[in-house]
Amino acid sequence: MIYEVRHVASYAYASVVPFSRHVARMTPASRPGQRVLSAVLDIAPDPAERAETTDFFGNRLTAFALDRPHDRLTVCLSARVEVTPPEPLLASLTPTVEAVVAAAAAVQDLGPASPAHHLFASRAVPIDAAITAFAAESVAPRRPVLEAVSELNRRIHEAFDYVPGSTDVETPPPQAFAARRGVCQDFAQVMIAGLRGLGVPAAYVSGYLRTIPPPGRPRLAGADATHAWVSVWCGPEAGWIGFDPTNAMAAGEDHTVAAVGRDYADVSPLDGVIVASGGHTLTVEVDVEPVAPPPVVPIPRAAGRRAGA
Amino acid sequence: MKVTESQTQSQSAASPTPAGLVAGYRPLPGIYDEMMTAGGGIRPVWDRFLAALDQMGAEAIGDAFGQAGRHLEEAGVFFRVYGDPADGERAWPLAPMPLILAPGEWAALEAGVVQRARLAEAVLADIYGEGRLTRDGHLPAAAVTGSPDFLRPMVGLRPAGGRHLHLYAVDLGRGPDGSWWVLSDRTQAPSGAGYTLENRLALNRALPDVARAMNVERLAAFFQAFRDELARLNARAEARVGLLTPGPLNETYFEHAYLARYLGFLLVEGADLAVRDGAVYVRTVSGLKRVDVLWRRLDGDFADPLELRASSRLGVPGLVQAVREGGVTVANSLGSGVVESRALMSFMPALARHVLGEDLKLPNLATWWCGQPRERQAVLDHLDEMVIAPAFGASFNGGPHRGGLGADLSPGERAGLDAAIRARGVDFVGQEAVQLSTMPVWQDGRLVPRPFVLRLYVAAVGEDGFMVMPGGFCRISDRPDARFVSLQQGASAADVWVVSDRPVVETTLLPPPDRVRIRRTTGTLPSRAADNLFWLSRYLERTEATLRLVRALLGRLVDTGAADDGPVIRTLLALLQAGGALPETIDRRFAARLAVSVLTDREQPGALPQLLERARGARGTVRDRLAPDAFQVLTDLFDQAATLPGRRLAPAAAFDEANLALRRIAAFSGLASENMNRLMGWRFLELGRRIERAAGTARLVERVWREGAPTPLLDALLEIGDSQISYRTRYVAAASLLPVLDLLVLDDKNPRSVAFQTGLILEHLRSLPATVVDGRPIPLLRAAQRLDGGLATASVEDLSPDGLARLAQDLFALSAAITGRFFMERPSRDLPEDLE
Repeated sequence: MIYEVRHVASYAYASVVPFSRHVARMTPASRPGQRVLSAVLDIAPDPAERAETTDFFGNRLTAFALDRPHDRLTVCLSARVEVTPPEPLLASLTPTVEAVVAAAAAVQDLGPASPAHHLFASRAVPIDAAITAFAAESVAPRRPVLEAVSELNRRIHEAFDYVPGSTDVETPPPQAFAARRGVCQDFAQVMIAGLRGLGVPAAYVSGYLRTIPPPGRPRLAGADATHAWVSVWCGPEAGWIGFDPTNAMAAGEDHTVAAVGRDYADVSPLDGVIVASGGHTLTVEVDVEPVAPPPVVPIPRAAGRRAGA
Repeated sequence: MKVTESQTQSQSAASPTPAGLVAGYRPLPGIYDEMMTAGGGIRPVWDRFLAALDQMGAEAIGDAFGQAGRHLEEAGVFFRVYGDPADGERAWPLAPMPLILAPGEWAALEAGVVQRARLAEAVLADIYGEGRLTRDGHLPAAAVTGSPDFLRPMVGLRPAGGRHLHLYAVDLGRGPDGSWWVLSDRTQAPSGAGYTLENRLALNRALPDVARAMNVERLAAFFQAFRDELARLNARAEARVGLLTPGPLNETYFEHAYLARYLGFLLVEGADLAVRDGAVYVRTVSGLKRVDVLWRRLDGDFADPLELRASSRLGVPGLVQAVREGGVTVANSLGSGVVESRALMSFMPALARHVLGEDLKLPNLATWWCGQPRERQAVLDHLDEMVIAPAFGASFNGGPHRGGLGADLSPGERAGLDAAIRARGVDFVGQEAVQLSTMPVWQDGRLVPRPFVLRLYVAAVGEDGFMVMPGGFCRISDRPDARFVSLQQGASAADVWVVSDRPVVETTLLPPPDRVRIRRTTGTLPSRAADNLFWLSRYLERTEATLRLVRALLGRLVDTGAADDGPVIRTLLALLQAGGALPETIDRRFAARLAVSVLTDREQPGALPQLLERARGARGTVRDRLAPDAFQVLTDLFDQAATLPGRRLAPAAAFDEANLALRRIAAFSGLASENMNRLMGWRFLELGRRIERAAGTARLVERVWREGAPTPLLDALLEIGDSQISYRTRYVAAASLLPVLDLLVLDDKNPRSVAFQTGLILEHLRSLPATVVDGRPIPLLRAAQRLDGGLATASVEDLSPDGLARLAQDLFALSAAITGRFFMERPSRDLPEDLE
């Protein structure tokens, strides 16, 4: 499936900002399961400095600075991404949870895809005894990991209410867990905290959901803004597998990855430091539409050239 | 090679009969003591020292040690204790007995810590480089990634100059068998080197002859080498080296300010720095000035809120990008803290063999990382004999665990820890429990044995060389049985003497002239420092004006028994209200009580406690810019003010307190103008005082004029304006309006008049950088010229209450313009609060 992704983040400042410096992590990168056909990040007003890099986890990072007084900043991504959902695995054939835990602690890889980065408490996702106990009900040592994690994914969806506005980006997972409600970030972080508490590596994924569902399917929660889900390391062979606890589904054809990290702090779409006295308001628009495949035009056969002729 | 007791004693046999000072001294049972053998003999290296002390006699020793303490007190040496309500500044706890190390033992220690520094450097280069140690199975990935100091944005970046570690430190302890053990590595931003210098100065002063006779190795050459090394990393002749500090609230801020002065580096906070086009600049009153090298005392994770810890307010946005583009060298490299973790210690012996092809010369505190199945089982099997500690960082993740020796835990704690280690072994290590050796500490006129940890420092020199500081930083427990020593827990510190067989060179090893590149950059005044000097003197001047009002009020109430509700009293109270020193509604019948409350009321923004709190906040960040005497006078003033709230002061006592405080402010003004070299910092201190005084006087005169200016009120005005004598020498008659106006507003010969202040304001502004551009004064300077010119050409008849009000407004606008021109372009939340 090919998507046209449009993500606009705009800041309106209460007072004029003489100087600001930002980092954007909005541009998708090609990675297993998706291929970026084109991507343009427009910044208005025009930045004085702009540098494109790839961060440790392979996310595309645009660092920029504005040095003229401004009271508005708009960053707009237009991208075309081809998403190829992974082949489904037979859950019962994946290794046991305890085998995954042992393999993760012993892994001999410091590279960006290594599960070792996602094994520990991170700043936004502390390890929490209550969440770990909740996860342990599904994620038992002897169960096949995919089966266990799928059940946890479903249980979080069932136990939690999806209530936009009930939390903010800084709400700690234990608090969202106690209230049993939140938005996609809370669902994802609770799942990550639970898995890490048991020694199973889990990463935080930010990205985009298809806005209008295919005919006959319900609209997914989180489709109007940037979405968040979880990537779980299921052993050296199966590798990383995406789960969307907000929608109780595997991350698949509807999910376009913007950035991957340990928690929100690693993938925050737009971070900035400004010199200003007033406050600001942020508006975000996300649109993800399938691109109609190009029509198949039959090539007229030249006269006299027939198959086999 | 181990450093063992037999080696330390190889020079001569221990002297058999302790006497004099050490008569009552006994090592703790089963514990190695630095000075005395288990049999009661004195170790050779201590012999000469004790003999010298014995000659002095107990009383002279007490005096000498007291002098060392006084030296530190006078030098203002302090450290900060987190979470202490009383501001947390503590006097530096020097233990005056030095730790003495013999030449042979020192040589072995030196070789051991250099090897350790080489190993740490090599492991860092691999972790942030190829990652071969992990790939080849010598270092599990999780032993690296669990560290909060593994900074992923730095992976793949080769540090400028090729080295991660420019200053490495290591904590050592000596076990019961006499051999030294490495307790921990300090690779992030090792502290204590500056205190080492202060300890040495204090001891040299206390025992000058003893130190010389003992041939104690000097420290200066080490600091010179370290300084040269950072200077070498500069690309350009004009470059500056900045010492990046987290700021005055940091535990060891004193040391940052001290080392910056000693080494000639520019003391900067994150908010002083700006990144432009991949280079780092310091914001100064002369504009942005390039900084090529930053010696950081800030944890790496906090160094850049954009790419590292987003919540950090201490860092420099864009610093990582600048490092990436090669625009700045940060020492030690960002991320160098990753090899400090306890998890890594368990791999050090094997890594030494693999990476260096050598065994560790100084053994490592035996450590088992529970992320490995065999090691985890070993820890669980021997929980009682082991010290359980977090594998990474200072505290345990995900649980209210208490570490320490397994045997000391309650059954519940022990079971909880056991389960946690089984569930997430990666978070834990078990470490061998060690008993530290003891050294003599002078306590209540005698020596007692106390355990200690020795920190040694290694500086990188050149491409791959190292230099060890011939001395160190010794932290001593205040309890005989401590297994853990930390200054945060009330321990003391001692100097470390490395003695030589030969006389040591007296002079410092100055580098050849062509290698001296750094200059004292006293001409570079960071905007933040200028801002704080400006506000420090504005708040002090405002305090002075308020105190003068209080004194005038109390004087009238106490001496003359004036009616509490007379017109003079009413106006003085109204003036205090207008300045925010008294609440909006007051009961005028209790004028004396109200006057006293200005000294004691914490709630009123214009009363003494809040004014001086702000002054103190501003002073804290300019410690390195004020002369020690001036700093001390302010400490006296703040200490005095701190005793006032909550006291029931009689009016006469309050009068005395106000007088004392006024004298202290006058002393500060005098010391500041006498002792501060008249560079830009002094200009800003002056500007703050002059603007505040001019505006305050204009408002005061305006108010009195609007009250109809009766003679008793004019008398009070002359008293508050400190101009009674000037008036009496000119006019025989009682005070009347026009002469008073002339004296307090227009007379540019009267140091308290408005015109006198505006003249100085103009002079100071003219000598600041770039106030004249292309031959034309900038708007700020023109405004000051207009103000001063207006007063110079005015006559008394031109004045009016409204005109004086406008004058005050113009002065505040000038203050805002100075802020905009010299201090701005930094997060505004840091700006001192303006009371206007």
